[in-house]
Amino acid sequence: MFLALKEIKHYKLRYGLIVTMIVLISYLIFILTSLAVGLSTQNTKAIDSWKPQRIVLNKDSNINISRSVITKEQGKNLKINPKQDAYVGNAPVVSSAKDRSRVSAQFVGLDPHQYIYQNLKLTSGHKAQKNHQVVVDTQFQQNGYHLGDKIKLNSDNHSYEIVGFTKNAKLSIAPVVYGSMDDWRQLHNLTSDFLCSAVISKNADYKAHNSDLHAYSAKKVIDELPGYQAQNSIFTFMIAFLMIISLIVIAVFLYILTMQKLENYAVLRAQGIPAGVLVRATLFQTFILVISGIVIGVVLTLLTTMALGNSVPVACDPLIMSTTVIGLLVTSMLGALIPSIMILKVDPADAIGG
Amino acid sequence: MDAIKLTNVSKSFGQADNRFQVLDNINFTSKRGEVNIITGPSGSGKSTLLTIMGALRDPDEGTVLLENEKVANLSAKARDQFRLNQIGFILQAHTLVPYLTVRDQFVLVDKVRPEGNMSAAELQNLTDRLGVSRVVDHFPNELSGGQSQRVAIIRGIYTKPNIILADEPTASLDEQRVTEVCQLLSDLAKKENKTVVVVTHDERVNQYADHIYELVDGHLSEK
Ligand SMILES: Nc1ncnc2c1ncn2[C@@H]1O[C@H](COP(=O)(O)OP(=O)(O)OP(=O)(O)O)[C@@H](O)[C@H]1O
Ligand SMILES: [Mg+2]
Repeated sequence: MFLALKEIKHYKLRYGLIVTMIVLISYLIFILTSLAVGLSTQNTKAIDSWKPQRIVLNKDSNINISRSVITKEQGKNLKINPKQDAYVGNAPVVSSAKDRSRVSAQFVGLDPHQYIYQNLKLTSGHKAQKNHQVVVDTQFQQNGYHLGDKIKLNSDNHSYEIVGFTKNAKLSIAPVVYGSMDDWRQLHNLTSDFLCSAVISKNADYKAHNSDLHAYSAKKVIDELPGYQAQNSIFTFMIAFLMIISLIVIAVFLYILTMQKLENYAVLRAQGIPAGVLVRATLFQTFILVISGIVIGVVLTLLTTMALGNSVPVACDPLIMSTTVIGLLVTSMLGALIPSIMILKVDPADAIGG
Repeated sequence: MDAIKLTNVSKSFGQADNRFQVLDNINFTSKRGEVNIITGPSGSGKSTLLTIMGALRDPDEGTVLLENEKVANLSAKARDQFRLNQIGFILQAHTLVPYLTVRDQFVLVDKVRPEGNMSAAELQNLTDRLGVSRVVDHFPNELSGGQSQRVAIIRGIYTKPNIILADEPTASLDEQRVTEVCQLLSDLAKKENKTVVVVTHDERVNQYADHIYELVDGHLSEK
């Protein structure tokens, strides 16, 4: 520790540059991660808030809620315990109103007797009490909509009144408009023969009891959301690539620094200083540099997330963030292996003879 | 007891056609309290002989006994330990850690070897004696050649080793300092019963020697 700290203190510029590089790389990785998490949760926030285990969809829907419709006939054997099972009727809509910007949204019809409606948490206003009343995601507020606004959904002639706002209602990166099942049928041009798009159940053993339907696991349905997995794998790829870059950058830096020190290390080894002391100094040094780089990177990321606010969907998930931190630490310690091997290979006899 | 005993030591470098015999059947002994000087032309193998006396290299043939310890029998770890405790090197090359002040060079040794090193008072005495006490807070690149040479000498004997091996210790010193350094090495042998081996071309050192050897074409002979 003594050697490691003294050296960093002596070569401030040199090590400052390394830390700066680690800061930049980790900052980039963290921002990308936050963006990935942010976008990913925007796909699923609404579904997540329903805490589903199983989701019953029409088998023809290609495991896609918005493309699934279930008729009353198909659903007649479904057992609904309103405390844990609920119908949802989903349809993509475009909302418009006088003097307001258009918003692409996801309409979700609910049954007022079932748990999703009952558990809906509002930030303002009240729940929809009759047809043509809707509760919408707070993103509408940011887009200038207010309580009491009359909005048009698609080309439906009827207007809908915003009676409440709710947070975290996002589906496929669009804000959710919660309304009634009747409104869903109307927006979808369906007759009253149709029951819903999907049944959401908190029961992991929920059964569809119909050969046209299937109770998919919630994870499966989320994974099949359009673009969801592609988006996630692109981000994962970018982050993994950045990790590899950071590994190489750190390894190269440490390699060059260690090269310059080998002559002196030979002398120290000749004098009987064990190789372990020198290797530990290098590892410890790497650790300090990387940790300080990462800490600064994290702080910058938090500041950036705060500054960006709601304009960009960034989210710092503590678990994913700490996984990334550990990933960075591991890769840089791997980078420190090369200089460690170099040190172990130093021949102390080289110290003599000049 | 012999502090250093080399018996029939041979060493060559390279392989096959490039094989080059540096040391040829060398016998050398030194008792505690003796100052030995080894001279010889450049490239004659003096430094190589020092690496063998310092447990840094093994000979191809022959045996090396240091403080009655058969060096060939020591594990790599034990060798590190043996050098740390028993051998003091005073070397040709720049031997100080560039990012440690003079004072910290010794703190480093204390960290690795907490006991048996010079006390603060002893160190102070020695830096006074060699005229480097004013630069203890300087980094090596802030020292003159002679100053760093003298600091390296103190570093070499800071662990109070029984065997002191020096490669051209007086190279960058003026007349006055040569005398001081030689007197110091002589005192270490005579007053503290250490064994000193000095490789040097510097004739001024000869008067302090108990034995003077010459290494020519791999053969060692006492003058
Ligand atoms: N590691 C090595 N590999 C191959 N040859 C070596 C090695 N070390 C030394 N030699 C060769 O061994 C010979 C003796 O080298 P050594 O350094 O012992 O000489 P020296 O007497 O100390 O010379 P100088 O007075 O110039 O310091 C030289 O010819 C040198 O080229
Ligand atoms: Mg030499």
